[in-house]
Amino acid sequence: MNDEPDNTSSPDSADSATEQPAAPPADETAEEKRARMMAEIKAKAAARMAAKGSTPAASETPTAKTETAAAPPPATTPAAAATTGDAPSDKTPEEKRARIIAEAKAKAAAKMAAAKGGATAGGETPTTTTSPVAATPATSDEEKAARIAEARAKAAAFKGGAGETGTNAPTPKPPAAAGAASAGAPKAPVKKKEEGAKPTDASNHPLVKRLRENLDGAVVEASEFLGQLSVRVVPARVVEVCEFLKRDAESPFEYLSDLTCVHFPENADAPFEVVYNLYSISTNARVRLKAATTDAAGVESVTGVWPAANWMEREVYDLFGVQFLNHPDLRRILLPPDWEGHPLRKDYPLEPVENNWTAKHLPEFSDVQREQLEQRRAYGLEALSTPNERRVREIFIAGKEVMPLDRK
Amino acid sequence: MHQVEVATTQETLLDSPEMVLNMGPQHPSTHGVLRVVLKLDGETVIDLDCDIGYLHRGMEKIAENRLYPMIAPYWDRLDYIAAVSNGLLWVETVEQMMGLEVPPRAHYIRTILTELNRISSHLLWLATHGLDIGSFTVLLWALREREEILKIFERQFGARLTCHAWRIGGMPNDTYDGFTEDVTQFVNNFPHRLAEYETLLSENRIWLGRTVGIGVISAEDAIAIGLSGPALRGSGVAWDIRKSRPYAAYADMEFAVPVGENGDTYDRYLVRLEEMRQSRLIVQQALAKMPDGPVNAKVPKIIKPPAGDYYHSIEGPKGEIGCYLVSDGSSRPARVRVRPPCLINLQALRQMCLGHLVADVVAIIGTLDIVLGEIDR
Repeated sequence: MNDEPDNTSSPDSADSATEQPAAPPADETAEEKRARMMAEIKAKAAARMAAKGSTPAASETPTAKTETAAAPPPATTPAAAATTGDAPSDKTPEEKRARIIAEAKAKAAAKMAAAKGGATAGGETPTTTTSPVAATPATSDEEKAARIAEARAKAAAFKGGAGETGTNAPTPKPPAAAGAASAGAPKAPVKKKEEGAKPTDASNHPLVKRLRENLDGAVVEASEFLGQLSVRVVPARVVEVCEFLKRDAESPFEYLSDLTCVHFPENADAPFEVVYNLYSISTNARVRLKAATTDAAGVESVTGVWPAANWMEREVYDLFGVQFLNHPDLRRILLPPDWEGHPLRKDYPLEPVENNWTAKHLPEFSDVQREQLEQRRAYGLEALSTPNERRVREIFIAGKEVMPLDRK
Repeated sequence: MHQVEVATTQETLLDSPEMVLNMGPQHPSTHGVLRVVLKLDGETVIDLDCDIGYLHRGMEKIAENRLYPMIAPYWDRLDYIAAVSNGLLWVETVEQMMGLEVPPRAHYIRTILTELNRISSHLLWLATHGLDIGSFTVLLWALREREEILKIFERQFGARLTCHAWRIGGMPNDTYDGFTEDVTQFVNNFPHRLAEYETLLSENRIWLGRTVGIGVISAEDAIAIGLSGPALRGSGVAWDIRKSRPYAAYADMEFAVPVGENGDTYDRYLVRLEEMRQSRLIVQQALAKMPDGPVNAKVPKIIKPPAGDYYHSIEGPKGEIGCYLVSDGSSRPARVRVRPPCLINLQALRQMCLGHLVADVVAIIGTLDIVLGEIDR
């Protein structure tokens, strides 16, 4: 299942007028490849229509073609492809407008890049430049960068003076919040009317006090969020804490509800947080333990405390690659034993992967079959006609951000 | 606990009295694509290993890349027998995290339809469990009643199985005209139907022979291995999340939590039958008390729970189905973990099967009431 070049896409006879774009770089991603394929297909369709003899379109096709060809393949974003693709089928004014828009966009992009370069050179930090600013034509780049920086400083000053809870600007968070929210990286200053609940420190909780008294130094911190208690423990002492909680006289946590893991790639020294959700059937209490660790170091297995942990730890090992020491039977559970990679890690792709396992176990496609498959995929994109559908499709394919201010 | 070792050379196969038998993944009694590797001494099971994951679709990974409302339909595909119940868990988790106040009428409708879903799930369990052990009639009879419930679902949601029943903050629409009549009719007929099943099975000699004393698990072992739902209550532990941590409108309902005594397959059968009766009572009460009013809360256009983590669980037909949701404050969750009751109940299979005959493995898989869509996710 080797990756093959894209010149297999439809040996169409009618597209002699369409020139192939420049040879694709070897390292392009699947998304870029798809976008480029779409652009090609649309250009071909336009050429075919022109050949059929709809006269107004025929005069316009060269424009569309040059646009497609001129854009270097990696830069062909789906949006650009959509603009060029819609144009040929339209009447002349629309076509023209589309071209103008595309040109304006290219210009704006160039300006944006320049502004960014100027800003970083100036020692400021506006890594993102919003499009309305970039589109203002009059000012020079340095001026613009300075203005942006000024506006940001003003906004920051306003926020700092106005209130401390109203925003989640990258101001220093309280340690408890940073721990339980465990988002790590500071967020972009999204303007909001009101934030939801925040985690609060729970050091005064009787259970936490008991833990601190009996197990010195095992508890790192405790927080409460929406009435749920989370206790962060030292990973090396997880079993000790679990044993204590299971035999605790006041509220014995005899039931392991859930054991799972969360990946925080931004916490470089301990990116994997193993989470234990405990329940006490007799006292109807719940508590959550968290132990941050690395995949290689892992944590001690709690199968000795609750046999229920067996398969759940196997699942975490399977999907995250976190080791569980002294586990009686640590092997993959959901994926095949010879699978490569751990899918629930954040760096694992959402797209179908090809690896040794797929090469070994999935049927080999002939050239024709592969071509049909790629055509079907391209058609699937084309069939989504309205921009909204296309936007949703993009979300589904690449996890593209819908909200521009999300997850900076 | 450990991998079943398969003898590879002919010599060892012939020399030892042990034999390795592969059951599934295409086996009618494994309720999906479960593969069980059995090590047998004669007909007695001496070791067992489950091979799962044939239906793994990576739903938790998919959910990390969807907006919150987009994730709801995926929950229907976990335990597709109990899609209404699963969907309730997801919307309640997000609602509670955002602090949305759902109107009481929506809570009551949710309670009614979730309980109907529990009955339909138990009916399908009864049908297939009976079929596995050799009672064919109960399959036809139980599916007949399940059909009535599915018709109500179809009229209400437009779909029979994967309903996408709820929306965050309430319901897609109010009940349809004639909802009360349909539900009342079902509720009135149902006791007779249950009595029919009981005449078929409860004192049937073959049924007793196949279920009494099979797959016994003590209360302590059941808690330790993580059993939940009817499988746990069959061992005598009266833990029901509808009682201990009420959600939807269960706080206003009066119902009993049936428990077994011996923790065997027969007790779990009795528990589930009684649960259907209690569910019927809940539906009746909720129907009588149902308030008027809106069915939707005021929900922001973009669902963004506050940054933090939250665990919520409900009493699904199979056991405690839980959702551990980690939000980073954006419009997509950072992590969605499904606590799958079927997976954790299936873990007990080895413990429950050891020392029993091969034929009893089928009965025990049936009594655990597993759905592979949820196990593999």
